Amino acid sequence: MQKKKFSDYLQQYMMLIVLIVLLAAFGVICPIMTGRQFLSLANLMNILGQNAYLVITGIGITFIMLGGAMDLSTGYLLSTVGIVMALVDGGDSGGGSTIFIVTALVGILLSVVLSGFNGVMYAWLQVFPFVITLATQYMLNGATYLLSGGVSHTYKGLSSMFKFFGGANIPFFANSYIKSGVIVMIIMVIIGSLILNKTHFGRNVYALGSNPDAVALSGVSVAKMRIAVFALAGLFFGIAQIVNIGKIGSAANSMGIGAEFTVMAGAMLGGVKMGGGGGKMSNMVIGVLIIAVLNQGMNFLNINQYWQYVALGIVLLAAVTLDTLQTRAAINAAKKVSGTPPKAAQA
Amino acid sequence: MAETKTPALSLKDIRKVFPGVIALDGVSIDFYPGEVHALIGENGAGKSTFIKAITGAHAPDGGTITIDGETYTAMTPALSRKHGIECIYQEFNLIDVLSAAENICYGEKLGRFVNQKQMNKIAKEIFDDFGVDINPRTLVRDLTPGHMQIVEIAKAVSKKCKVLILDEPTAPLSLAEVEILFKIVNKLRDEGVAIIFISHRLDEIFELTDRVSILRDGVYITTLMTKETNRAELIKYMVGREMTQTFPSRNSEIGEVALEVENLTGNKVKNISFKAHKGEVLGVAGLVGAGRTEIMKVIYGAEKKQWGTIKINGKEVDIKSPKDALHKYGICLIPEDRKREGCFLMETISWNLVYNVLGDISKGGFVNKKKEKEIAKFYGDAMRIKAPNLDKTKVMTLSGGNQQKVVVGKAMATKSDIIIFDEPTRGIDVGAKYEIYELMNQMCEEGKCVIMVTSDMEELLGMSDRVVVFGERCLAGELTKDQFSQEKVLELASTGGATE
Repeated sequence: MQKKKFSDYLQQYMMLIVLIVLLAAFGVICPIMTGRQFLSLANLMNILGQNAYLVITGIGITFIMLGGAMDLSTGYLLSTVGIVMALVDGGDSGGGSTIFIVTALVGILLSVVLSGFNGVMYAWLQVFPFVITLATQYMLNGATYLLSGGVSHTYKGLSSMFKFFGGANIPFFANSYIKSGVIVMIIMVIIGSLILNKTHFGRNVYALGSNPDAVALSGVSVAKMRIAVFALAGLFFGIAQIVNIGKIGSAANSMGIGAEFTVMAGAMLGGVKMGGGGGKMSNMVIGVLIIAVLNQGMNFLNINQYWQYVALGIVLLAAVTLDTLQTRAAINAAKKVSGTPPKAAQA
Repeated sequence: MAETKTPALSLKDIRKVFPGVIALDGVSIDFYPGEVHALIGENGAGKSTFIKAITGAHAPDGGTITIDGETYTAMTPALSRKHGIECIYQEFNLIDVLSAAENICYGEKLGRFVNQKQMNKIAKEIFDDFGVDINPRTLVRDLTPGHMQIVEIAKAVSKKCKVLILDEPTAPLSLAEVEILFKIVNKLRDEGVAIIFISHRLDEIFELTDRVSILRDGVYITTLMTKETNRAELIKYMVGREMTQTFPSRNSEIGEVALEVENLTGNKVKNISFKAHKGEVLGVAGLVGAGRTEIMKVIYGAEKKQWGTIKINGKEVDIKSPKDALHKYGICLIPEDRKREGCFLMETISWNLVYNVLGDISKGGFVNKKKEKEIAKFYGDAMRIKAPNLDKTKVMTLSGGNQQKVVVGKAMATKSDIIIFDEPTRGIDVGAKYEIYELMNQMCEEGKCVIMVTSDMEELLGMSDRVVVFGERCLAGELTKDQFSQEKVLELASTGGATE
């Protein structure tokens, strides 16, 4: 048995440590600088509640990234699905005129189909999904406004069931509340992890990202896998947008836009390898939470929004640098052979 | 011999060692101006390494290289360019989206700005000189392979090269294109360029070259005047290797035909027919690029079949995908390039070993951890994979031999009856090789059919019960055990030439 060294543990839990350090740092600095209590249960629950839909979106993105792909269209897909659900639900006047289960199923199904379409094009053309999802991003961006009559619109008065799944306050101890979306998030993370770690499909996702040529020669259809990965991601996207609408209480054209970058950044930050080959669901969750805590902490410190972007960029670049250097060191170590050079006189 | 002249390029005692292999062992050859000098040898004889020492791609571990009266212990690409050494590899080194003229003048300083007119003029002059009709303005990607090669040569000539190395230049060419190439080579020889010509087509050696040097297993054998030698003598020198390696004996009974292909065509290989029996190792010989790997991929369903039939146990089958081959017809393929196609380097040994059989040990999509552990342990032990921990060690960190054992184990776990090995022991050490041979024997003894594509002559003749030899993208012949000889294999493999 190989004994684990301290440095291995450090590497494994690096990002968790970073998250804890960040929480502690803001916990100390915020009360001093601005007199606001950062480390309160209410604030922590608020952070979770605000970001639950991002984590659920991240589950889908994690599948896509581990499978060796990427997705630029996610945010626009979320907004399109959101608008469609608002329309099915009855929109402004007649919110809840359709049974919620139908609304939700239509939304989730549409999300699976739209994301699956990305997968189909990727599997068929076999070009890096950057181009494909860039194209669908444009299409979805247009579609979301066309659906709301060609203008920007916010649908209010939606079925209360949205709130039930995303924005309901469930009493938690010490006078704090936990948002229902957080419960949904926890369930989804567990389901996502189970699929990824325990199933044949999950294995194939890793295999696909690690070596698609070997996957093909192992008798697994690379094309079908790619479509399945995107379609599964669509399932999580659909659920994420239900939670998002529930949290805000309305559906607007721009809701969800930008989520793809936050989530991909979070996943990368947490250690999910872009281009496949490594990373766990927990990595993504921690990564997204790091970004969330950073944002909230800087808000508490009244730091300009634009400085927040700069800070986030620096953190992401630092994480990628660190990760690349580690991988490089591992590859170099693996290149070394054991033993001594052969004798010169050998014929 | 042209001893009175000074050599244009002289290599002395060149030695190069790679981990576990001596690629070149004290090779000394002189190359003279105005001479076409052939360099021949079997797969792995050290030709490529020798060329790389000249071009500076590798630094030799010993010996000297003398050019223009200056002696070096190692070249660098820049230094070799400076001395007028140009090499044309099989894979062209051209920029697709630039024109022929731009490629020829690439890297030349023709004034401050790009001067299309002057470049086209330079290119046109060289093409006229060669007697070929290529428009200098044509983009390289729109040229035929033959013309691309001429652009490469023109590029070398425009740099006033003194030594021109042609590595298997005729492989991608049609007969007519070969003729033009030879005309150009002859012209350059008359102008005093020293030409090093590498080819496995012996006919071409006799048609074009003045002298021929033979390498074998990294050792310099001899240099002959081409006029004074013949095919048989060259083959004798190329193969005169001692069979020193021992192979484990096997005790298997050769049974019925397990796999039969007839006129199988696809993936650029034409009309291949052979039979492979149960309990037999069928060796598949041929020079690199003969189309052996390509046709195996067709059998395995990884590439499209154009025509021909595949029969398994006497019944015609239609293999549409590797999935069919693996799970329906019991054929598995252990690919040539284990890192790219064989295994998942970033994952653990156990992960790899069970990968192919996950479907069998999953219930409702969930993988049965207990069975997974059992299978991984069974094949890990059976393959004698040396690693600290099957469940934790990543394949990336293993030696080549152990990586190959993982790939073989992964294939064995599928319990296939027909096992195709493509270069099973390339790049692995002697101990691991022996273990792979033992595994093959074990498979035969269990009545499985083993097909072994190999470029290693000793392994081919030592392990096979029967051998089929590929010429260039076609079948050249078949040898039974009593006909086995290195000469016969090489003679068959080096026949065939350019296609129309």
